[in-house]
Order: sequence, then structure tokens, then C-alpha cells
Amino acid sequence: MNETMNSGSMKTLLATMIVALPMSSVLAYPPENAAVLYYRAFLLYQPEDGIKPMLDDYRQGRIKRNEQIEKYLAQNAALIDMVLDATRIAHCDWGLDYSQGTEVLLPPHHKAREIFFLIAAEATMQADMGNSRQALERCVGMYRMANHLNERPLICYLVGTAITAATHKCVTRFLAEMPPDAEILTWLRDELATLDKQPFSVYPALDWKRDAGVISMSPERIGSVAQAGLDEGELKKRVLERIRTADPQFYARNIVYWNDFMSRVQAAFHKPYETARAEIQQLDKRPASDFDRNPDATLTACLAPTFASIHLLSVRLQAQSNAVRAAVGVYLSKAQTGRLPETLPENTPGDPLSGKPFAYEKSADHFLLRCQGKEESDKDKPNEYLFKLGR
Amino acid sequence: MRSMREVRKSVARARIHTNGQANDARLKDLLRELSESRKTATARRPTEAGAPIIRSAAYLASAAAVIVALAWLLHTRPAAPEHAPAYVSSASTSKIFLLTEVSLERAFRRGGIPAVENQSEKALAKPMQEPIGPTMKELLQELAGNDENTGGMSL
Repeated sequence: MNETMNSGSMKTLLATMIVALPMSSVLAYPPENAAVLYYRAFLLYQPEDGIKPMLDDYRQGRIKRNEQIEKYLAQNAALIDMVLDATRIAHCDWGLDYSQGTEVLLPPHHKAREIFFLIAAEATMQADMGNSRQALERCVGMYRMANHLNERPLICYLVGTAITAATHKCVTRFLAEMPPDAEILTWLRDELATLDKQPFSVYPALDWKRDAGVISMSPERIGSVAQAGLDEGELKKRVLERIRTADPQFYARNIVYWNDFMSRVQAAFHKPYETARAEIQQLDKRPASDFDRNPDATLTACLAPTFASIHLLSVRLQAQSNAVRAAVGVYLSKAQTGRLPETLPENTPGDPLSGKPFAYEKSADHFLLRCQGKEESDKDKPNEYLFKLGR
Repeated sequence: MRSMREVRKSVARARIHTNGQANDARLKDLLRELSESRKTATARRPTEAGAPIIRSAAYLASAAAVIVALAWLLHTRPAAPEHAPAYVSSASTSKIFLLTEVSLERAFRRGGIPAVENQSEKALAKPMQEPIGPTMKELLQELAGNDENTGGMSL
């Protein structure tokens, strides 16, 4: 009897396995790696001629929704869903070969931005139709895509920055146009808090830049790196000449110089804005000024980007991100109480330029968040973020 | 086709008819040719006693020439480098290199994100060309086999 039972159970188990195993591969959607879906979307999306500026104008409110936009968005609905599915996957590995140093081949970033324009236009259409939650869901998706794009290389960070900044503009517009809905605003606040657990940051790019530089400072790689990375001119000519006659000590000493330089840059990025900016501006000039008298500075002069502009960009983005989070708190307070708060809600992130809270001003049709520090001491006005009250 | 074993058996069994007079004549010819060739070789060779002297002189001359050549090479050749200098290639013409980090950073310095996008687009732009894949007709013909094994039948 037992044997019969066992045999029966075995048959059932086998039958289940036969059915379930192929099914598991059939149902393996979404994949574990978000990059699989992004690459598919990049491959499939071929924007129509002239559609890109139209979508961008629509996103920025310069034109109204029209039949062509509606039709185009409907045609690409499956692709939009695919990308939004990708944004919900935690793991994203673009499969980059980091052993190539600064010669690592990067994903086609222009496709990421094209897809951003598509989804931002779709989000705008949802907002136009009164579907605020759907519109903001797409924005949260774009924030996640920017985070996914921010894999180690600096260019990936910069493209992610561009998408994050553009998404902030979408959110600012949608918040102004939507009715005061505490439920949606609470959801958005929580989503942004979840994103902040793994914040969009410049630091992985700086860490990688340092490692990539060391990999590239070898006799096998540096020639092609210098050819690709330097504009034609006297500096390139002199760098290539030094590389042609370099001995192993040249590389060892240049790596020491580079590591010291990058340590100072990385430390400066963590300092308060004004100190950091002054230090990074000085550091940017150092390799070029050392170049003539110190051959050890040769490859740093060849590989170092202008860190001052990257620092400024990262702080500007942080200020904008903090302003959006502060604004969501203000809108939520208004939705809950029916009026704008007298002061900014507690735990509102501050202005990274000064390290202080944003200055908060309100009026009948908008409120304003102003940085208390300036990007440059000689700049006339500090950065301001205006949030309209639509309904 | 016959196997190698069958071929060997046939050769072993084959009868070869010979003629005794013809064989003797052929043998005499061969012996005469051999004797003449030995005489010619001896006439060309130096005397038995002088040969080693001439041989050793030739060896000495060759050795001296080699030593002189080596000395000249060592004198004129620059000291060998302790390391291999870096290979400095000319700028790559392959479009795929436009997608490297170092190349895109250069584009960013030149024109920001739009320049990065333009370069990425350029790297992946398709050249205008005829499709290289087989047409449906060509594919069907390819899959139809050839006259020998299908009798010319199409799928």
C-alpha cells in the first residue's frame, strides 16, 4: 500500500516538475536584471522624425496635447510599460567591462534620454487627463531609471543627473496642477523617502574615476586613452611625446600623483559647499600647472575632468532634489489643513549650498524656497525654487 | 572502391616477367656510370695532405668574419631599452570607440549632455546600405538542397 502511495506521489511530483519547470522560464518576467529590459527598450525604440522636440515641448507646457502626440504615445504604450517594469526591478547591471579602465564601453545613453522624453510626455498626458497618481508614478519611475543609469562611470552619472533634473521639473509642474490630495502626496513623500535610502550620488563615479585612472595608466592602454581623451593641441602633443619615451618608473610615479590628487578631490567633495568649491577649483588647476616642471603630473593632466563643474552640478541637483522634497511636505500640509503652513514642516531637507534650511516665502498663488547660500559669492541672487498653487 | 588490403594482395600476386640479357646489360651500364663519376670527383678534390690545412684556414677566416661582424654590431647598435615603450596608436577610426567613457567625457567637455547624445547617436548610426541578409526567395532556394540529393525538388 505504502509503495503504491509512494509511487503515486512520485508520479504527481514528476508531473508537476514537468509542467512547472518549463512554465517557470515562460513566466520569468520581469527578469532579475533591469538592464535586460532597458536594453530591449533601447533596441526597439526608434523615434519618428520630428517627434522628439514635439514631446519635449509638450512636457514643458509649450504646446497643448494634440492628436499626433496621443497617437504616438498609444503606439508606444508597450514600450513605456516595459521601461516602467524595468524601473521597478531592484537590481540593474549594465554588464560593463570595468577591466578596460576609462576605455569601458558605455550603454547608448541617447536612447535613455529619448525614452525619458517619451515617458515624460506620457506622464504629462496623464496629468492633463486628471490622473495625477499615474503621472507621478511615471516620475518616480524616471527617478529610478536615473538611479539605474548611475552606474560607476562619470558619464552615466551625468546622464542620470540630466534625467533626474528634468523629472524634478515634471514633478514641480504636476504638483502645481493637481488638486490637493493628501493620499497621493503621502504616497509620493514615502516613495521619495524610499528612493533616498539609496540616494542618487556622485560618489560612486568619483570612486570609479580613481580606479579607472589607475587601470589606464599602463603602457598598454595609455596611448589610446590619450588619443581618445585629449583634444588636438599642444598638451596632447606633449603628453604623447612623454608617453613614447616613458619607462616603468614614469607610470609608477604618475599613479602615485593621481591617487594623491584623487584623494584630495574625493575629500573635498564631502566638505561644506564653499570650502569644497574653493579646494576643487584649486585642485583642477594643479595638474596643468605642475605639467611643465613635474612629469609625474602628465597622466593626471591627461585624465582629470573639470571636477569643479561636476561638483557644482552635483550640489545644484541636490538643492533641487531637496527643494522638491520640501515642496511635497508643504503641499501635503496644505492638503491636510487647507492652507499653506507658516513654516516648513519638520525634517524638511535643507539647502546644501549653505547647510541651512531653505528660506520659505508664501503668497496666494505660490510658495518659494530660496537657498541661503550662493553658488558664487559674486552672484547677484541665490537659487530659488518656485511652486505654484493651481487649484 | 577497393580496400588497401586488396590492392596489396593484387600487387603481391602479380607476376613480373624479366629478361636475363637485358638485366646484365643494364647492370654493366650502371657500374660504368658509377666508376666515371668517382674519377670526376677525385679530380676536383685537393690532395689528401693539403686538404685539412685549406679546410682549417677556411674555418679561421669564417670565424674571424663572424667576430668582426659581432664586434661591429655591438659597437654600432644602441643599448637595448630596459622596457618596452608605450605604443601610441593613431586615433581610432572605429565608431564603437565613440562610446568609450574617455571619448564621451571629451564630448561632454566640448558640449555637455547634448554632445554626449550626439556622439552616442553617431556611434550607433546605421550606414545607408543594401540589406545583407538573404531574401525569402534566396532562403527557400538555400533550404531546397541541390539536385543530387533532392532530385531538384523544392521545399
